[in-house]
Amino acid sequence: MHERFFSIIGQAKRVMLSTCLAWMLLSHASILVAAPLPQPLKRDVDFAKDVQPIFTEHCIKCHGEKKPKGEFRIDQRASLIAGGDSGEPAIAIGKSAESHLIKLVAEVSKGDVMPPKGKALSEEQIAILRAWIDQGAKWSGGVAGGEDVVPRMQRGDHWSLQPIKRPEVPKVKTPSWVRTPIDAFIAQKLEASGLTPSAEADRATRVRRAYLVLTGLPPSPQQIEAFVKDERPDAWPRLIDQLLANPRYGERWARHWLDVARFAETNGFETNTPRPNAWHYRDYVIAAFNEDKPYDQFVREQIAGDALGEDAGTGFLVGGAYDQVKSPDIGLTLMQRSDEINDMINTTSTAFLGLTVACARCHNHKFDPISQKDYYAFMGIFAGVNHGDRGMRTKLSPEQQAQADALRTELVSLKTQATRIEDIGRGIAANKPGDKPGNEQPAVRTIVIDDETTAAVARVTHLVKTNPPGMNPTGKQRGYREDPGDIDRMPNLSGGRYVWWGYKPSTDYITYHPGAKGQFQIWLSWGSGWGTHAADVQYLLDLDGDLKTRDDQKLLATVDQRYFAGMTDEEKKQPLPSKPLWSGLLNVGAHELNKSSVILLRSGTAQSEAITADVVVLQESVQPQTTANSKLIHPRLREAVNARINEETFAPQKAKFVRFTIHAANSGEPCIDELEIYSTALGTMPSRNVAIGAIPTSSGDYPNTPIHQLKHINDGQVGNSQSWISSTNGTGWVQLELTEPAMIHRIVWGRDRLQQYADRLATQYTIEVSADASKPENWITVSCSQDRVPFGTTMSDLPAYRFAGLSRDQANELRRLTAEVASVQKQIESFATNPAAYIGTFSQPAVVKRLFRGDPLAPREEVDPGALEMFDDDLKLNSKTSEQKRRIALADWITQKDNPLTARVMVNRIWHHHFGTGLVDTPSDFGKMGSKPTHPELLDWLADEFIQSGWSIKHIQKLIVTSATWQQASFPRDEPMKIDASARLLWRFPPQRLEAEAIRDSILSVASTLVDRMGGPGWSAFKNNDNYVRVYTPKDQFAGDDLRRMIYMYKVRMEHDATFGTFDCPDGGQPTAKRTQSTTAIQALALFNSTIVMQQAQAFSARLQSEAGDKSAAQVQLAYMLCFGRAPVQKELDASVSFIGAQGLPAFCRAMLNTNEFLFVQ
Amino acid sequence: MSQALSHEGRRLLNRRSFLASTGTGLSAMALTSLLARQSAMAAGDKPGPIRPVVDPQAPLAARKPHHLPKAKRVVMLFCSGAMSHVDSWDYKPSLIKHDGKPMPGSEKLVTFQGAQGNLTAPLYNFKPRGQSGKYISDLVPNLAELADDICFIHSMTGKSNTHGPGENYMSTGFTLDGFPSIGAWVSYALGSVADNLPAFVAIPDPRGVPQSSTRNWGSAFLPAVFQGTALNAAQPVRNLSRPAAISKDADQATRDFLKLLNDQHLERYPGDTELSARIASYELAAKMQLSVPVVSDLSTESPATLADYGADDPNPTKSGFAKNCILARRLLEQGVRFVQLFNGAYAMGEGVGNWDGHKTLKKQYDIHGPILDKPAAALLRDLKSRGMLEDTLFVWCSEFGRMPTFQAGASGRDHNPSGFTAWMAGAGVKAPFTYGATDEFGYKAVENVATVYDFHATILHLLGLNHEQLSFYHNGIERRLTDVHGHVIKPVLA
Repeated sequence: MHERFFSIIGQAKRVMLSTCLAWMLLSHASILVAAPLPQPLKRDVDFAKDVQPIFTEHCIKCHGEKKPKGEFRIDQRASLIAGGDSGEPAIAIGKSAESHLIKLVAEVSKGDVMPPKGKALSEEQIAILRAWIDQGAKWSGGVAGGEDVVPRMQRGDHWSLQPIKRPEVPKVKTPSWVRTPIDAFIAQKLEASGLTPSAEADRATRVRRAYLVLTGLPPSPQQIEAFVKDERPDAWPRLIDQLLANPRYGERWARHWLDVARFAETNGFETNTPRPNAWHYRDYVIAAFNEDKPYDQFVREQIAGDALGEDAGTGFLVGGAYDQVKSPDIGLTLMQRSDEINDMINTTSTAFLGLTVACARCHNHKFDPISQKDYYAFMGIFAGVNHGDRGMRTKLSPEQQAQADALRTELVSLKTQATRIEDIGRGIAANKPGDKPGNEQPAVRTIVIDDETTAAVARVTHLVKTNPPGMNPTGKQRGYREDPGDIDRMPNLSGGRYVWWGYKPSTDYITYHPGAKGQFQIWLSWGSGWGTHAADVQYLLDLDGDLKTRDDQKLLATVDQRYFAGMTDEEKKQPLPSKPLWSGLLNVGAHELNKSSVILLRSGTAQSEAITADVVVLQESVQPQTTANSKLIHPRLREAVNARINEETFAPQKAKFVRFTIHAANSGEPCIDELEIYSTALGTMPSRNVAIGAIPTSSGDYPNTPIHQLKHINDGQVGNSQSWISSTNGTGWVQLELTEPAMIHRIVWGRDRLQQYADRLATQYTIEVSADASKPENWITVSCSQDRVPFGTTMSDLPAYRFAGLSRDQANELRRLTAEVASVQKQIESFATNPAAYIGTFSQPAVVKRLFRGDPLAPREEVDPGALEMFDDDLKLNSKTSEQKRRIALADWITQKDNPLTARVMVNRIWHHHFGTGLVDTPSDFGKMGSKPTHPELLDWLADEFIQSGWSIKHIQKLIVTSATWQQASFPRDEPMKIDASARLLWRFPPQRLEAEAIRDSILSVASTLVDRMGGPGWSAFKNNDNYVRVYTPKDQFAGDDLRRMIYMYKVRMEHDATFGTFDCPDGGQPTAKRTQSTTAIQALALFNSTIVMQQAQAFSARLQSEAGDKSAAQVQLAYMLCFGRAPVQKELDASVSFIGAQGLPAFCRAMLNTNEFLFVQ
Repeated sequence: MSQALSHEGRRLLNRRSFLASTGTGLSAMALTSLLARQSAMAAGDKPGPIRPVVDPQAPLAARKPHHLPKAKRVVMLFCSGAMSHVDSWDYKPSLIKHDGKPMPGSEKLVTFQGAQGNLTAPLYNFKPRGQSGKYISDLVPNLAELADDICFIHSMTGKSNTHGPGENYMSTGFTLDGFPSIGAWVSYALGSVADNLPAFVAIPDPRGVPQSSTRNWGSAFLPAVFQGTALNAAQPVRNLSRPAAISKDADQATRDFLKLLNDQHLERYPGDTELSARIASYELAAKMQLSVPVVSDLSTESPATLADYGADDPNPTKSGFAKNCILARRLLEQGVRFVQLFNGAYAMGEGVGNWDGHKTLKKQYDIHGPILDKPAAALLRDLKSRGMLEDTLFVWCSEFGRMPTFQAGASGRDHNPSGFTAWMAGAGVKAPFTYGATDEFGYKAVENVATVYDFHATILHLLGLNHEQLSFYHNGIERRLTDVHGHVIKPVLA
């Protein structure tokens, strides 16, 4: 039984206790023996006299100056501190019992003993060593080697780690042969070896070669003819441009990258279940090649696409296998996680850097200057990357954008209409006949005054010293802290607290100062729920705000603070809950206010113990009314601000300047990642973000952080790493001067659209616009936070509109509008849907520690995230650095121009796929175990050219394909074969067998059955199966989408397509930089007998008949053009015609699809 | 086959002569660079990696081992699902004594599926067998009779307690996906002496593929030619036979025509070995088309043999596995280098497809035991009686063992990689012999603890290969079957 998806939650305690057992399980070889360590000697020891003789006797033979075993020297203090290849420091100064050296000489763990052979150290010797370490491991007595510098990993003189130097293009003896600088480098080596290049291949051969290498498909006879007859001198570069612009190119070249990225669409391991959403990454890679996305950007997006608006890129990180079978066994769980991250480290370092960093998981790299610490620094980069689906933010096409804009405009209009009808019912809007929908009123002013929020401090005056607040209990019931409200009740707006005082009769306790002039509907609230609360408090409106003058005070309401607002007498008979609750809002009617008016709370005369106060709400009223209106149950408030995205809509306003002023934030200096300002759609002009290009100014910017700069406020890029932060705590403003005045109606802003951060969020703000900023009085407030429910309030998602007080027609109209609003909202959401894609999720990781021997149960010292020590680049990361920032830092480091590996590795991969072998024939290993380049200067020249071109892959490809070198004939020649049989020096174009995908695609192409639909989920080569451990049984019949290109084959990890998979197709188990090239009988059987090839032979035959008619000779002519790109010679034609006569056309087609000439690029 | 063979085809069929002609067969430069690389690697004080030199035209040609081998071929019988060692091979009287009591120190034990119940006596009776008196249970009575021919390793330890990684580890030396199987390594190292058969054949159980499916016999980053070819008595090699609609003559004529086209093409590219290798591969394919049906045709076996194996059993799974065992012998007879024979398939419900007895172990093993026992014993006996055991290594294994306790609230045992049994018989191993031991309950290996690396190292050693030297360069690493671990278990060597 496979315990899938077993949750370890709730098992944590037991799991922790089992750690020791799990350790035994994982490190079975080293059974722990609790032998007591000899105690350290209790006297001062001297290095020269006491310690060195021990080293000399037992250690120096293997760990001396010459070829020290495990790269560990006992004769240097620095080496003792750094340790050897194990990555474990040999001594921990002052802590002998923890020192690796002592553990080994005392054989603390059975079998792990030094010296491994010969006499063991005596107890006394161990005691001396312990004492020496405890006493500070001093190197004394005139013995050399005491320097305390821990040796760093050095780049040494290994070629690939040296900076790229663009060499001079060599002068050669045959300059006329040279077409691109590449040829000069090639010719130089050929000359030095006494070789000459081959003649240029004929046009038909070259055009077939170009099609197959660049698009993975053979050219049609028309395409061949077009080129063969093209007499323009630049016919060849024209053809190449055309092919590089062909979408088939991306489908071909993405395959090469997907091999390197060990991309597959199942999880691997035992269950090997599908990842139905993994294809987004494949589409991303195909598009990247087709667009010629700059390679440095391509790299960055694959490591940190979530920060760069290319979510799908991070499919790279989680492209590998994922063991879904979970267990409560912590040892297993930790090892699974450790393996996942190891896969990310391995793939990232080999793919981009050509370095096998993963070799340093258990010990320092055996060949390259990569320490175990480096490995764990890398682990710190990826420790927060998890397997799984993530919502992918879609990028809209311009048409979709315009459509979405139109819908948004429509939505605003619909909502306005609905609100107006609702307001009729609420009694605050006139029910005037002929009142036209869309005839928007100016923004209604709303004021929420919470007695306790910092921003309201200026509006609230406590006249009596308060007690510690009453705290609403947590829960969703009426009046509780998370009460989300319902259709008749506001959510809990109080922030969960109310103030209270000991009760004294006829005393003024608190004033609320709205500071606004006009007619406002007023709502009150208080702390309720206790029998001790005052039963007859008075709320008064003091018009002039001067409490001494009482003749301007008018009673708003007398309130019984024991009960919820608006409770009926019947309800009041229920027993009180005896909990500190929020009363809800009591509507006390509309009242005329002036700027100095205050609302005052005054105790009455009834006997009680406490009086309370809480939030009050005022909303501008358009209806001249003075009495409480029972139909107007609560104010209309917008949802609370959130860290991701907030939208403000308002009646169109002409603006040249837009200012966003922050009054309060939930923490620190407030941050805005992007401020978008949308113009109203005008005729055919769609609404657009007019903030782009505007000039930003601000109250002050957070200093010295490249990712937080004023320019990021309107750079079109979202997320924390492209954001603005104010220089002042909790406040600040930012202003945009538009390039030209525009009618605007919508502003969108957020703290972090990528949802990594929720701190530094502006919770109270005002947005003003002006057509002319020179006159302050011209600023118009278009939106603010005051009509939002307070930050942190939970709201129910009940229907937005209420029908109370409406006539039947009005209600019907409102119903219609409500349905329309919902429908339009849904359409808008469909543009903003975040389809689930297998591109990983991110979480802030725990501290990363070096693991002794890579064992997750043997953690050692903490390691900061970072790059490779040998490059001396401090990425300035630590365990507190945010997860995303770590990946961005690594991505930036990999793609910085002076990283010597990134460009070299990629141009070599490009070269490899043009010639079959790279200049370095170990494309993912540029370390010491890898091969040296055959043409080091050429490699450097290409690498530099690559960077200079803006990391253009197509630029390098064009240089290669238009070179004389690549255009040579591929015929073998006797003399060069003797000197350089594998043609590494490129005296000919090396013939190559097509890869599995190109073989299949070519067959379908010549049979004219290829379905060329691009993108989206793939087709499957296997029958449906839903066993919980997937079983992959090959399909027998292929039809419809099964005849799309093979790159779209649903890539099952570790299982091959039954026919074409036999042609050395990588299985997605490990990254594959270079496919093996084998020739097997199984391949022959597959291609000669499989149903798919037989089916295609039939289709091919039908095509020949339909296009060439019934004459065998014509059929053969066409078949040769289609398969080989040439006409048959007479002998071939005769043999073919005679064969067709005897065995029929399908048999001829079957043979053609099996020929060497069809399967080889020559 | 009446058709005259091409030059390449003759070379292919005469592969024993291959080594002598390597110098001319391989492109000179490629060979030189390979050799240079080998010697450079060997410059250190340890013996350097050895990468077998593979002729593209005859990649399966026999290659020389590193030292004189005891075994020339291997049959590896793999019981998928983790067969319980404490109910079969590893006799623990203490389990009977402490039946129903908690295992000391196990209060906080969490294994794969969770909490443990009490120690449970073996579910099958153990008794002494053969001259040696080795205690083996009645789960496998027929195999038990052969105790004197078997060398037991009771102290095996694994690296994972999940089936997928466990099977990967046993078959490839890595718990992760993506590494070549032991059979692929062996065919890469030694090629084959079977002229017209694959060097490495995997025989899946009649019920289906094992849990790690094809990766048990995959070639991963080794060239595809070394991957195991899957076939069993019921399911022939994929694409082996000519398409149904095509007559034998038409098929042959097409083959001849194809060769004609390829030969004409080759004339323009003389000396390009990959082209001639492809021509040769069609010839080997044609030979396989003839030879595989012959080797798979059990009708030539005597009724006595069929009965010995149980191939006549009315239960299709039993007879199916029996036929697979006969097929294994026939393949070995033909010189196939490595046969991996599976008993047990992927999980298809609680313990149904394989040996994974979590809940009702006895009930399940009552079914699985008889499927395995009689045919497997017949195979071992048959190999012995034919004298083949002299130079054939018979290996029995499972991905790990099971707990001496029942799972809490169940009548089955959870996974246990801390101690389990594997065994070998035949060429080069001591028998009867017992190596290593688990603790008194069979929970953990405590004496002569052995790893799967050690197990693999020993198999390679018996085949004349040094596990520390046999290597393939991939993505920056000289890859080995045993990674950087493993020691030959010398005490088991005869």
